Amino acid sequence: MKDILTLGIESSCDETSVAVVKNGREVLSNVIDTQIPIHEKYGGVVPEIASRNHIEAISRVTKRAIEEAKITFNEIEAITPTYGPGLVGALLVGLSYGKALSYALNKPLVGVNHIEGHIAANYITYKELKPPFICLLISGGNTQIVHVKDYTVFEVLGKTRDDAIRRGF
Amino acid sequence: MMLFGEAFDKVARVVGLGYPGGPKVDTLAKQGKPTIDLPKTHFENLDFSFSGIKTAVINLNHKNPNVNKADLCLSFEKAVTEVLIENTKKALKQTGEKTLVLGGGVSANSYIRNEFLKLENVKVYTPDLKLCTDNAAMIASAGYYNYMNNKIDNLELNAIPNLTL
Repeated sequence: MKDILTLGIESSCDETSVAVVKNGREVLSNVIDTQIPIHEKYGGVVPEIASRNHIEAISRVTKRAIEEAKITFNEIEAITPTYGPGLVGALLVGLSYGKALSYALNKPLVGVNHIEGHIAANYITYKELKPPFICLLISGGNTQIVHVKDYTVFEVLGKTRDDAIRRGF
Repeated sequence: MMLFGEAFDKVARVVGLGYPGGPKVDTLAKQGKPTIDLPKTHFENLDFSFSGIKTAVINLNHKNPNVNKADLCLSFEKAVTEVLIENTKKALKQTGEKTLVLGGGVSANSYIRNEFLKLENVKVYTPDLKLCTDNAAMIASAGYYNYMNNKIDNLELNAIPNLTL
């Protein structure tokens, strides 16, 4: 079977990141440009500042991800940006960039749920891992217990009840 | 994305550690003893609430500014981990699954990882530390499985800030 390369684009919070992954499991590049030092002095992520830094970083991070993977844009099979959850202004940067690439390169656009990404981090770490399993997600706003029945089939069994307080972005 | 992480950030802030709180609480807790009893919230189902634990830490620190910060951090980690483990065990029992996978930024916390790795009769996977925090490799991996399952979008796709699974 032919190898399939996907281009991941992540800008949901304070990290601008672009990666090339082979067959969902093998990382060819994973460039992460963190904004932590920028937000440190405010004691937390400032959404407006995050969006502005994503727009500055996104092109150079993408260029580096392609270079480090030693591929060309044409070898990519699908453009896969995060479309939620996260800060809306921040998400729009990576999503819009992904859409532009999809249009310009005539490659399919595949939106990714950031939470599914946190589960998939384990597919990269453990090549033998396959669903079904239970996943405990503890990424801040997304503390939840998920029954991962298949790669794209999920049932949430329990979650934080205080979420709504912070979901008013 | 923060809320459980936000609890760590808030705890870090009140004990004077600063942002981002997670790694700082993790480091300081290693020098502490879990001597402080914190109130845990339990529900009938598998839901969680950490606001009670967080508020207890804030109040304790406010009433007694000389409280040992390392003890407070470790007691906080211990309290949240107990709740996480209790609900996770219920989920495993309820579904009959024998494999447990951790994920998300807070799964980088060394105390939480170690406590989960001690669980018996279940195979526990913890992601590579570099892949716990936000990164595009995990997004490209999830994107691959969407693509292989024909979950393809058109150019009208919008950002959804409160997207759930």
